[in-house]
Amino acid sequence: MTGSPPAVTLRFEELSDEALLSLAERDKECFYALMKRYEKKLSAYIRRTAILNREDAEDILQEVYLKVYRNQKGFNPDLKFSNWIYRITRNEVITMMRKKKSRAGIVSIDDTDHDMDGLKHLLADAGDLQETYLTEERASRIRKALFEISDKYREVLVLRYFEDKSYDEIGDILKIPQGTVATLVNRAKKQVEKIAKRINLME
Amino acid sequence: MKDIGKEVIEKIREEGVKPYPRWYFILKRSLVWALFAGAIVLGGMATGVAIFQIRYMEWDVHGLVEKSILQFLALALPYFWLGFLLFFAVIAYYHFRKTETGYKYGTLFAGGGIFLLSMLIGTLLAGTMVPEKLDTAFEENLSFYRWAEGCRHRIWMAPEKGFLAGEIQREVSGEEIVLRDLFGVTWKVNIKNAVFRDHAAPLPHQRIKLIGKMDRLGRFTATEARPFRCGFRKRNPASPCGKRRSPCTPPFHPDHKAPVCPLIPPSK
Repeated sequence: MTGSPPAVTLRFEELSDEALLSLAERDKECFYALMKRYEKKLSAYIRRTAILNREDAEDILQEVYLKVYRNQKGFNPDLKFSNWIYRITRNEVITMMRKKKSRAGIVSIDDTDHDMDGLKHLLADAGDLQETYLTEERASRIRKALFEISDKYREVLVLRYFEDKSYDEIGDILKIPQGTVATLVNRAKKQVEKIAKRINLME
Repeated sequence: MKDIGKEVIEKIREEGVKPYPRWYFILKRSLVWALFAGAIVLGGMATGVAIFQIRYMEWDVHGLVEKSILQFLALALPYFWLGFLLFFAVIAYYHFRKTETGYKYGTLFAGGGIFLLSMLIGTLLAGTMVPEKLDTAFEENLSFYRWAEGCRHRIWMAPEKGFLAGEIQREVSGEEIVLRDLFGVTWKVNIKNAVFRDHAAPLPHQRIKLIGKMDRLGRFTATEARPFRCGFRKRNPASPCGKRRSPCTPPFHPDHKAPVCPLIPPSK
C-alpha cells in the first residue's frame, strides 16, 4: 500500500464490523477501514489500562491488528466483534506488561471530554455525586487516587465507565461470568466511594 | 501519531501474513471439547469404581467393629477413586473454561454440572464389569494402589476385637497358617474351624481377612476367612460381602447351629 490511505470513511461506513472482517482477506481496504474504526478507541483503552510509552502502545495496537487478521477465521459470530477485539487488546496489554514487568494503572484518564464524562459517571454511580462538585483539581486527585485500586477492579471500571461497556460485554471481554462482573463493579465502586470521601468529594 | 493501519497492511503484504485456516480453529476447539469429554469419562470411571467399592464395603462388619456408621465410612471410603474423580473433575473444569462459552457459567454451575455428569456416567458404569476390571488391573499392577487399598482395610486391623487382615506366608499344616498382617507383624493363625468364603483359600501369598478370636496369649483363631477384596466375580451367593445383615446372622460358623460372633458370645 503506497501513497495516502484510501478514502474509506464513506465507502465502508455502512458495513458492520463483522462484514468488514469477512472481507478482510480479499480486500485489504476493508481491513484498513476496520482498523481505522477501532484505532482511537483501542489506543485510549490501552492508555487507560497500562503504563506504557507511546511506542509500546503503538506496538500493542499493531500486534492486535495482526492477531485479528491471522485469527479472523476463528472469530465466533456469536460474539460481538468489538468484544473480541477488546479481548485481544487486553491480552496483548497483559503480555506487554509482563515483558516490561510493569504495573497496570490508569495513568491516562485525562481531561478530554470523554474521560471527564466517564469519571463523573463513575463517581455519580459510586455515591450520588453532584457533577458540579467535580472540578478539574478534584478530578486530578481522583485520577491519582485510582492507582490505589487493585488491577482487577480498575479494569472493570475502565470498561464500564470509560469504554461504556455493558456487564454482558465486559464478561465477554474478560471471559468471566456476568455475575462476577457485577460483583467486581460493585466492589470497585465501593473503593471509589471511599476514595471520594477521603478527598472530600462527597458528604 | 503514525498510521498504524497502513503499517499493518504493509506488513501483511511484505511478510505474506495469511489468516490461519478454518480447520485449525475447528481442530483446536474440538481438541478442547475432546479433553473435556475425556476427563468427564475418566471421572465417571473413577466414580464407577468408587460406587462398586462402596457397594461391596462389607457393611455387616460395621456392626461387629463397634464403630459408628460415620467412623466406619471414614475408614473404609475409597479415597483413591474419589481423589481420581476430583482430579478429573478439575481437568474437565479447566477445559470447559477453555471452550468458547465456558466462561459464561459460574463456578458452582460448571463444577456442579461436571460432578453430576461424572456421577451419572459412574452410576451407569457401576452396572457393568468395567469398575471390577479396573480395580483388578490396578490391584495387580500398581503397588501404590495395593498400599492404598491396604489403608482402606485397616478397619480389619483389630485382632483384640476379632479382626485380622494380611498376606498368608505359608501353611504350616491344614490347621494353621502363618500370616503377615497389614502392619508387618507375623501371626500363627488357627484355621481349623474357619470357613473360607468366596475365592479365599489358605494358600501362600493370598491376601485374606479373618474374623475370629485372639486369646490372652495373643494367638488368633479364625472362624471365617474372606478374600481381601469382596464383590468380585468369584463370589458365591452366600457371600456376606456387600450385604447388610445383623452382626451375628448365620452362617458365620461351619456347623450353622449357632451364630458365632467374635464380639458377642453365643447365647446359651
